[in-house]
Amino acid sequence: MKLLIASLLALSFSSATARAQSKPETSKPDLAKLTDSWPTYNGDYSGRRYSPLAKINTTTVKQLSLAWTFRVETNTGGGKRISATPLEVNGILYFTVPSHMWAVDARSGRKMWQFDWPSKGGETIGNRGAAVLGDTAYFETEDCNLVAVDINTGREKWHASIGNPDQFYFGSVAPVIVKNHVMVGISGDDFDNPGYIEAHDPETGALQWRWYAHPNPGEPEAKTWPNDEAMLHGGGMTWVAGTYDPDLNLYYFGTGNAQPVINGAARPGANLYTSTICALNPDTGKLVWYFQPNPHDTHDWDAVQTPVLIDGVVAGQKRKLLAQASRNGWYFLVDRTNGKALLSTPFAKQNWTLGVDPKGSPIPNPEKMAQLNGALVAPNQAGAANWYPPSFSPLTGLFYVPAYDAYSVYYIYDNNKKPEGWAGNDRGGWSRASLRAFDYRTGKVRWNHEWPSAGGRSGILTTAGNLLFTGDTTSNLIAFNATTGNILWHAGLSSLVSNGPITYELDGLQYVVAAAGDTLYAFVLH
Amino acid sequence: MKKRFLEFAHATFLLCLIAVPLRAQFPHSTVDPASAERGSKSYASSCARCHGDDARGTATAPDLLRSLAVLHDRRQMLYGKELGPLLTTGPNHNFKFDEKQLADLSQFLTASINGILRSGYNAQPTNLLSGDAKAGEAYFNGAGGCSKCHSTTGDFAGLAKRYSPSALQQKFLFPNYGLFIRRKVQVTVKLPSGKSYSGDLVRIDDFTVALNEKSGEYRSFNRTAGTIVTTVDPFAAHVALLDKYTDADIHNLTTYLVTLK
Repeated sequence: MKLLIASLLALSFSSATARAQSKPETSKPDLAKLTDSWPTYNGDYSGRRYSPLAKINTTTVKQLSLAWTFRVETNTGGGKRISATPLEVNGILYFTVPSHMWAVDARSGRKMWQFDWPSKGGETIGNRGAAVLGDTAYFETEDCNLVAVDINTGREKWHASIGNPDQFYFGSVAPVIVKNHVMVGISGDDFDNPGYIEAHDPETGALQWRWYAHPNPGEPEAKTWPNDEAMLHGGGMTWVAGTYDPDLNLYYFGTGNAQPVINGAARPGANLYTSTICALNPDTGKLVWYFQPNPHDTHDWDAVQTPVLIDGVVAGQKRKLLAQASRNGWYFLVDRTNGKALLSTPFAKQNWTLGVDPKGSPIPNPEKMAQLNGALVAPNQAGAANWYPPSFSPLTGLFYVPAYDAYSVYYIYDNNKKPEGWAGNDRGGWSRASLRAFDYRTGKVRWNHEWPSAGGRSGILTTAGNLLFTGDTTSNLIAFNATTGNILWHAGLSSLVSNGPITYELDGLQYVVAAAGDTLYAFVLH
Repeated sequence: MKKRFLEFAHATFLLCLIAVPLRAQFPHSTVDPASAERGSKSYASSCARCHGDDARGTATAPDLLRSLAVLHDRRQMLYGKELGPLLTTGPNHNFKFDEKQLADLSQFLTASINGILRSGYNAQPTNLLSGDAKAGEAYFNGAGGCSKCHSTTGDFAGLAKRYSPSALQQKFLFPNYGLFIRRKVQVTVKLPSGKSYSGDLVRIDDFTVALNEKSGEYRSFNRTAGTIVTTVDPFAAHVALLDKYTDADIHNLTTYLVTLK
């Protein structure tokens, strides 16, 4: 028995030692400035998805070769499509699908651990990824929990509720670490609930604050709703991870569509703060400014597309800017210190506006809201843009977006004096899919690559190698010359590229990683 | 964890036993139509006076579709077990429903909630004949250019007998959309050698193209330098109209086409 105990102790000690030896050296990445890793959903806080790495460039990209693949084989009803942008921290990749998280060796694709959350069920359309702070990785689950996982062991540290699944809320958003806050968005527009953003304590999970995507009753913005009942059930989910300016200490994110979704007759007005870009103080959860890309939405057009932070020059003046290519087909350039619009212009086919108001918000045409007998609308419900991450390259000065020119017909199905839920939908459709590059200052298209067939979309990565990586509408990962739009390299994968590609460098080797369905593909330049 | 697993297994077992006559809704709260129908009668006689015919509330009583208690009952599939005490002891409530009546009421409310979800609607618009048939006929023969390819006594004879108004409208707006497209995009691939192949387009991207020849033979090609690929969308004229239609054109044309019986 003594021998057995000694053996077990030795085994235990040796595995602990092995764990200690394999434990990566942790260093604190600078989340404000991307270097050779990919430590947040968007790489850094800016949302540009632009890497300064340049070993893979317009000359060398043809030598890019497959390093490894990693296939997700777990399915607990959550689906296996990887729509998460992996994080690369200290040589380890962290990524998610609904209810599951993995740590994978970024050099070899070897699984370090897999964390399985015992979900109580929820909407599993996707999970956009994790956040890492120190030795903890965080992700949301479809049954509305924020889960903290020890990155050394793959075991849960704690979990905290982020919503009530009974009300059709669910978790899908990649959390963002801002100072001592884990910023959490919420999903779910099946039902008439308000969206919100929460901040949690990274050590304990305790809720620090919650900001609802509506004004408080009695505030001036509350007049954009007919009554408090409509406002307090008015939607505005926070589907996509935000961006952050450390100098201004502002956290930027967009909110989702107003509710009821399609029939807006019982909520006349702009319906703030739905379909709105918001700037919050992350320490207090107080709204500092807002700009509404999509007043009184009736087409399911979220304004949650990544608000990209650009330090640029407009009309000869250095400006701190925020740019969004919005689902409704419009591109907005905003002064991110105060939310004042500098440019509002369509970037895709659209027919639903009567112009732009003095604040820069498009004015919706009532005739192009859903009708009982149908209204032909561009873009369609899937939108000119969607959650797929865009990119901005300071090297080219171009903003890149997967752009869809599309039509569908919007119908009201529920003409009740108090419509609820969806109350209508769009039907059918025609679409033309493109990768579009435009000048961030003017919105003028510099180049456009129309895909030979319509189909799926994927996110975009640009690099200092003057490259743009994205997926096409079939199953190819493609590298473009970011300046000219010429195709330089491609690889056929098992299915559509289902996330935003990333890049990182280890041991002097630059990698590009993208997901296609249930598989991560890593390419490397030797 | 074990308890949680057993609860899950138990719930799963119960779920498997229940017939699923209606499409399951997220998060999988199924409804037995017969039970919901019985519940609707209980609701009409006991609840509708205050909560409204459609359970969406009135000036005197709250919206039950947005009630946290009802939403909890629905998601957890409690069949009214936790609603019962509220209906007995809540303010202005003194209803003593038995277990079966509570389950029926729960099923009615669950069905009412499921019905307003994205997937809850019967996606068939029903108010499509508000247009002017004469104006639609004029559009068909004039500005729309429809009569250049279609004939009301030829391919469109008896059209309205074959399609519902909603299907008709979708077919002329988006004939290339959906699973049962009859006419495929035609593709011709001309190789550097001068040889050429044509047929139904199967797949195309920037690097390869595949087609089915008339003979049924499948061919695929790399789009190498000098290879010329030409596609023809048989519905291109319909696509071109999307930029030109007014909604009135669409409503008028639908109303006219429905007269072709």
